[in-house]
Amino acid sequence: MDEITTIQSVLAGDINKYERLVSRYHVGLIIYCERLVGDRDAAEDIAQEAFIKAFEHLQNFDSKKSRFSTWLYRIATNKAVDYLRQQKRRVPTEDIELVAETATPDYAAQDEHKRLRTAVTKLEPPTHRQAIEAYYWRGKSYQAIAEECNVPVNTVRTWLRRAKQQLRSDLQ
Amino acid sequence: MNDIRFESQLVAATDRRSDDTNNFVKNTMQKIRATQQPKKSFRHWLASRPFAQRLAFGAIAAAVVSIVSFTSYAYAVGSNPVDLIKRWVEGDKVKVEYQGRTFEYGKSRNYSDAAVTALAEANTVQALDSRAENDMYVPKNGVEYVTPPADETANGASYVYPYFATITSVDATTVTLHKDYLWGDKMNPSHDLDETITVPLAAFHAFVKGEPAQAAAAQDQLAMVYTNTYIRHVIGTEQVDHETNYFGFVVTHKLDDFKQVAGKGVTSAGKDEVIFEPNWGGLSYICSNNGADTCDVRTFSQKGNQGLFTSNIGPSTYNPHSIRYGEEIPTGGSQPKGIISRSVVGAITAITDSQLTVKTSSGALWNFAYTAADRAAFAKHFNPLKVGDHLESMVLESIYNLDNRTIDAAHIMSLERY
Repeated sequence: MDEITTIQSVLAGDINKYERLVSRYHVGLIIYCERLVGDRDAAEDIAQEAFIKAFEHLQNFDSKKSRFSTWLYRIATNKAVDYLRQQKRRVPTEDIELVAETATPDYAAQDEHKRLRTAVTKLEPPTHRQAIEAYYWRGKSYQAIAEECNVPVNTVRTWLRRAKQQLRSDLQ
Repeated sequence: MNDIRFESQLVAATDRRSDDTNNFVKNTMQKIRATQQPKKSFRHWLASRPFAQRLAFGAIAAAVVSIVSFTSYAYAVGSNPVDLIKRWVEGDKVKVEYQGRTFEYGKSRNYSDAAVTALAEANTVQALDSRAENDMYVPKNGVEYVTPPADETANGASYVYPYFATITSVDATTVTLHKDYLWGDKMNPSHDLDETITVPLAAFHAFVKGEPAQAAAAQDQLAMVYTNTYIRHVIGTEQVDHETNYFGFVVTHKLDDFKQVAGKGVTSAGKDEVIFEPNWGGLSYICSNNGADTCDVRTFSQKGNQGLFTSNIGPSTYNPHSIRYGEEIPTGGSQPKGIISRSVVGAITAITDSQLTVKTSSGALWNFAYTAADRAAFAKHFNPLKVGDHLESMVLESIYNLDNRTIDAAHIMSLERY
């Protein structure tokens, strides 16, 4: 079922279909929010409020004007900006459109996704691969991964940083 | 490529997302289900603004249109909504005018000129049905109707599409319909029907030329019929029952005209774009599941609104302590049991250390549990709450306690000042 059809189903009353959208985007959206606000718990709250608000206003979503992901990310961005203002912190700027588009699973060619997945499977040592999978694909927090692996949180950060460096290198 | 874009690509690269349901997804969906209203739609790909979250706000000003044809222009032939459709043909194109907006059906269409106005009529009927079903929520004669709880509808995927039926007979207590055709969509293909049903006269709402009429006036005519089930509550008692209602709109086109355009995928941008929007002007803004009061949908969740709760991100519209499962401990499922959500909007008339009292448009007084500590937390971010402030809320109520106007902390879903 494509995304537009999923949205139509939700609008037609099949609320459960919305779970597909939440499942598809929540990991990326939480990470995105975490980058903006620097706090995992806050990021999850912002992402959740964004999903709820998007649901409440789904009838106003216009697929001709933007992708759902772009719209969702914009809602989340506004909430993140509100949060940062509350915290009296500077608001970082990112190219929201591009980030949202890039986070959309259908955006890049499937071949490119396959290349990325293949590169991840080849990461060494295995802890790097596990960290990437847990954080980017299963939506685990640094803290959760650290507890699972029984290592400090900073070790997880290091694993992920090095894994991304390796992936960038492998894919060039 | 900057880091966040690379990370986004990494996230997108997984092939397992559709199977991945973690606590975040479950928790988010629970909140959404707790606020959801069953929605119905007919050809949402064509028309409209399904009621989505705030079902009960709809109502439309009658609109549209007239019928005519061939050459160059058209004229209105009546004042009822269906007769106000305008259509004309220019060369290979058929155009339909709706409130000054023109929709064009180009030569690549594979349906007849008559089907064009049939489509417009179907959309007009959809809008009229929205208004009629919305009116059901306004209490009358000591009875109110609300939508069934989410646990009855969420798994049932309450697609409610109209079918075309001929009203074959009407007597003192019943109406007999012969179902001819289901108007489906991408998920529910249109198809012929051949079924006769008899429904209670009291539950059949007939409309002729877009206006309410006696069922007998619809006899032997083709109608678009919508079906919806409500919870019927006798106000002031705990008496609640399920009641199915039927909304039958006599149509002016032939069934074959409708059949030609049923199932056409015509929303894609292009020359044959035929999105036809019902006129949503003059909304009555009945509160969702609270038809005694009016709510202005434009106030909800707007920028600048101030959430009365506090979460990790500071002020929040959503109550982190709202009940998630209704009155029962979930047993394998996550649907609220016997719980509906209702919108409440009004001005604060009293503030105590334990609650806020809000007076709504009908004069009803609703009490929301809200402690002095809650108020103090709110005041760290915004000007303190005061009598006269306007609040909007979504509350959770048991269908067996619909007269309750004192909402405890677990049953306030959202609360914000606007």
